[in-house]
Amino acid sequence: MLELEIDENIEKFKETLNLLGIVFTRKRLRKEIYNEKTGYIFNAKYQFSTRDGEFNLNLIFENGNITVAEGKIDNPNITIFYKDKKTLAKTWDKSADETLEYLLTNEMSFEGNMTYLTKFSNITSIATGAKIKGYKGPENQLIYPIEEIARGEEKRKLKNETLNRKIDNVQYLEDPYLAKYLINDFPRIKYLKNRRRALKPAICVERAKLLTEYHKENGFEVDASGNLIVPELRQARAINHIMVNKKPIIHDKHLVAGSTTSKEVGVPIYPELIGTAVWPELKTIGNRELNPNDIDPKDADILSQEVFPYWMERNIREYCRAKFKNPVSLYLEERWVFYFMMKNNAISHTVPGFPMVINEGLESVKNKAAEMEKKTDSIEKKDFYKAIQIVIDGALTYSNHLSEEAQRIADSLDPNDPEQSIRIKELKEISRICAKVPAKPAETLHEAIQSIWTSFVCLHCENANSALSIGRLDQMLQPFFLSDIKKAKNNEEREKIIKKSIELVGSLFLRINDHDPLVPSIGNKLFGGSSSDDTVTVGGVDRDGNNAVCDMSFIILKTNEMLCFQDPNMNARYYPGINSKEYLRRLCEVNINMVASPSIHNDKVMIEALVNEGFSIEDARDWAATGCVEPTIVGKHYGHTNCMLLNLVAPLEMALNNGLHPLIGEKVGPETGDVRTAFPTFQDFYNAYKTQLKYLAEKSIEINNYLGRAHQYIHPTPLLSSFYDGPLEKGKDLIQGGAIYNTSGVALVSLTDVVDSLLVIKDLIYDKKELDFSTLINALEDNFENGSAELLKKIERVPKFGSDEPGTIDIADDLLNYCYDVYESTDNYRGGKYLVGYWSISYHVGYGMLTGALPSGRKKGKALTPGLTPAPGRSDLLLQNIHTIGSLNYLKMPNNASYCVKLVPHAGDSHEKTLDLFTSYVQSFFDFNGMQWQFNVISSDTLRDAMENPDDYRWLIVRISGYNAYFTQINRNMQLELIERTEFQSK
Amino acid sequence: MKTYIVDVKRNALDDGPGIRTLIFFKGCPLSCVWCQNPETKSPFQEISFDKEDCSECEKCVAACDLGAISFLNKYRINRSICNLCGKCVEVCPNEALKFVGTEYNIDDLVNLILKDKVFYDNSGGGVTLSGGEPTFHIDYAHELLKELKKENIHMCLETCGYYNSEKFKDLMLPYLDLIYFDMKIYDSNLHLKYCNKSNVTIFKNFEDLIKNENVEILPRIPLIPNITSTEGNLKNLANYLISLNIKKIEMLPYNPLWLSKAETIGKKTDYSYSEWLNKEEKDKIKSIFSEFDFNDF
Repeated sequence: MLELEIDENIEKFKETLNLLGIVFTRKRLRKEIYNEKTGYIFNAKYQFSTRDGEFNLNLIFENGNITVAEGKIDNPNITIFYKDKKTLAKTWDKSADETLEYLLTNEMSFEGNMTYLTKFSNITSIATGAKIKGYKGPENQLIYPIEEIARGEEKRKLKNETLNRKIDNVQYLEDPYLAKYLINDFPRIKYLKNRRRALKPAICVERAKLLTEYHKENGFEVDASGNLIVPELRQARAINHIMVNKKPIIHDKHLVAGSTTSKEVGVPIYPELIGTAVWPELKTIGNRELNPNDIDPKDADILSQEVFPYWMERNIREYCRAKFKNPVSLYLEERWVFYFMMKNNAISHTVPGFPMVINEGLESVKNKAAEMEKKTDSIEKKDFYKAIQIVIDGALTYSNHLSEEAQRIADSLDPNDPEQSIRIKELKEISRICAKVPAKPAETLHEAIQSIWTSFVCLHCENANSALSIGRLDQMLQPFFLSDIKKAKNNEEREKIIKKSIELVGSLFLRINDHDPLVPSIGNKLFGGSSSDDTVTVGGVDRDGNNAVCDMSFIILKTNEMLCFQDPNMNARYYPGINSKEYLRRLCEVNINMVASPSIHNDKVMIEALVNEGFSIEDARDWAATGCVEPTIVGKHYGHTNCMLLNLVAPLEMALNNGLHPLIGEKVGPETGDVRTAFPTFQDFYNAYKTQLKYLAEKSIEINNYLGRAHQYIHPTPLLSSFYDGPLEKGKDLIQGGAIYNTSGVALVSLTDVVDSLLVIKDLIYDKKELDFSTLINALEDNFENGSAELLKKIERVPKFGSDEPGTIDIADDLLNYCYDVYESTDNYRGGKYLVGYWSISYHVGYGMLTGALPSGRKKGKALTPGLTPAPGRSDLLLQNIHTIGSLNYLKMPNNASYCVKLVPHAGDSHEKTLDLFTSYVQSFFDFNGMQWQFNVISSDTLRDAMENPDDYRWLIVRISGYNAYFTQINRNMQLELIERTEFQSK
Repeated sequence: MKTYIVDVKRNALDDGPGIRTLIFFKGCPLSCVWCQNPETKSPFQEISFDKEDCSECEKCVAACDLGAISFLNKYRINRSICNLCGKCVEVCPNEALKFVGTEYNIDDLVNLILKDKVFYDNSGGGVTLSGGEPTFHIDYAHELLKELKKENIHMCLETCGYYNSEKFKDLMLPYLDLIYFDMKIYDSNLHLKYCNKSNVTIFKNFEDLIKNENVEILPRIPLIPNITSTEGNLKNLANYLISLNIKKIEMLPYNPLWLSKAETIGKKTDYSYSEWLNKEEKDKIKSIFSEFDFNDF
């Protein structure tokens, strides 16, 4: 760009800012910054500067007026920095989406309150004429015809073995594999499943609106008389307000009442958490390419003008920034490439004590809280106990509303119409059940399932829909299944009850799919495809170590297999030697039929790893997966298991550049020395890597603890607390350390790429001396483009992680040890430990986009390696991979590790032979003490076909790392990464 | 005791049940013109040259003291001059020049094999001796079998059938669980022509072996176009097997990829059929063997 052109563009930038002043005086738009009716006034100060300080412009919103001037101002709400004048000239008129790119590549950055940036993007998008297109009405739109979905599903050919004998702890299923049942036997479930896939999720403002309205009325920081408000009580009253005023909904044909949102499939907004991030997209979210959400223009206005402004300073990120004075650890987080802190979005990741609620009822918890309140002298505790009672009241009111609504709909139907009369019967039963649970203990399977679901809905009035998990569903439901089936008089009746049980579990799973998480564009771009990850766990052992695989385990697996939903994210525990091989075989079969579910866990190893962290053996045996795969002790353990994802590759790039990160272009880490001269031995270089890693880890711990403290103030969780052992006894909220176990869970991303790079450096630079750092650095900067062919060949020949060659495992084990020690050295803000694990969700793709070429030979921008899996092409033999991963020290990965295998059955093999082989691979992996196995049973060719013909593959779920995603809904980089993974053939 | 092994193929899923390790011995008493593993024919170490991997740096030319390497030679090495000193292999930066055959002593080979015992146990797999011809190294094979049988590993042999029956029964048979026995050409003269040995010993050994009830014998028919897979030969073989009351057999379809392998070690023969079997040919073969039980191919 020429100097002249740059100046012209900057002039245009000024003009455009001036133009805002004119555009927003127009009545229709003015209410975005000034609304006399509601009293909303947007006052804000923006500073735009180049990093060298040469160019400065400011924009001030004051009482509905907009002024633009050159120069610096005092105390702007936000300063937006541009790399230089040239960057400013080319950046200013880009869309919010494109601007994001500049933020990611660090050509733009900001200092100050991020919400002001999102508000600014919203204003510019409106000024440039963004409009909501294609909104058709209050109901969710069907984006695909249901028939099309049904046709695509026919591509799924299920294969089922029959097993005509009882195994494990199965008591009634004559064929535990339930081979004879097909989705066609359940027309209701089949229809609702296809309908769910066809629906476009809609943004739901109900919760956000009720929450904001409550706080505007009653205050947030102080009450009407100016007294400080106790956070737990404030939260309890606000959440009570939401539950009491929430619309009770029983969707047509459904057997389980209640909905997380007011839409058929909704995206709830949590403005105190991540909600405001969607501000720039309010007008365009319906038309974006990935995961579009329907939005009512009126709702968009409510969010933009009533809800979001209230939360600009009262969200976790901004409260933390202000309270802890813009710490470096937050600055690093907002550079995207070092670590991602989930607390800005949610905590949620845990497994509430649903068994306690279905067996004892919420009324008994409330009574307990009332008694405790009387007994204690502590004012804080009294407040906490009051909070518990207030939220439980809200939950019970909501449940009663559901009961009334069911009765109301029943009354509105025609009893003489044969179809409607059946529905009337169902609705009356639903009404009866909702009047009873979750207040009182459940007595039937239907009651137990409704109790779980009503609780789940209420918990989501408080907690974001981010991996608040269901837990050990088979263990919870088995007693109710047994009591139902014991009433049967003959085989025919027993069969009926089995079939009904499948339908009821299917009904619960359909409800679990009634909500999607809010994913701002950056989420789709960098990551994406994640659901709410409401996880269900089956199998394993019980608290006494006995075989826990039971009738309900198989019923749940069957239901899951028929539905092929991403959620509930299914996790199966397999205890070698206690659970049967036939059960493991069935788990493999479900994976063949579902492509990528369930994850299969080595129960023995997981339990040992937990006991090693101080969990009692009985509690350790009662673990269930949270979110992706992370172990959580049901109802006792508040362990934000996905509090952060740290990029292990970033410190490698920093060690190679003396603390400077090449993408950021700044020295963000300690100076560990010039790589060209400072490291006489490999150990010296390795130590430099560790120093950079430790620095980032410490910063990540610091910011996580700060964010935890922000949650303590902004977002206590009295309702969630009432589902736990601990808070009542201790008289404090979970967020204050009320649970029995209080860990935080860390995910370390792409260990493989670091190990491979270290192996190359060690072999070529130090052992063989065929390479020096100068040449390497030049090749990396040049992305191995010019004259690096021979170097790449040399790199390729170095034995790497997954090859099972001597030396390749030692370095990985050493690094596992180091990471474990770094994180275990500090407690979290609730007094618990940090537990590390190795799974990457989709962050290996996102971080890969932001990472330069690596010594391992990986090129710039390419995806890193998922979870704890060897990189593609490291070995042709699955067995070497299995041996490598199985050999690692599992005690050093207590937050679990995902080994993900793309394995394709040989076309000529029978189903039986394929299952023989799959089962023996998994069993062998576990015999080596491997922790967790994830499948993708699909060929790269089929995945390519799915890219070409997405309509045929709406059902296709694939395993990214830890979690599942619908293949057709993830971004192209993620699709390609999956395709490029090593495909092992069972041939 | 040591011998040359061409390859130890782990994680093999054919050549016997379950997950297996295949041991390819080097050296074979026959010399079939279509040999699918030509690098296993000679019992001695060889040097292979793969022009796909060659970057034409010419380091090998300089390294060779005997002048055996020339870029004018398509196969690079003049094997009549080469003394296998290996200097060219050492300097080659791309592994285009490689030794074929690694000497293994029994202990090392057993240790390598036992690394995967968990997989054999879980899958009902084990070890398959292949080649080349394992019976050609009968003392070594005996030692190996003995050691592995101590670990209770399922043992399978793939053989051309050309061996000394007495020694075989003494040194190998007691340790074997499954034998793939190649049945190539029924006509003895043609067998001599294409395989360089008559089939008299082979057929006698086969008839002798099937009397034994402790081990499963699977006759295996390599389907070599214009040689073994002619209608006449296959019908003869089928009748022969029927006369012996054999029900289960195994088919080994032709794989033309051997041609490029043969080139890398300068072992081209006059036979150069370069196609895979098509469906029509396969169907015809299947109809000839319709009375037998065999896996689809």
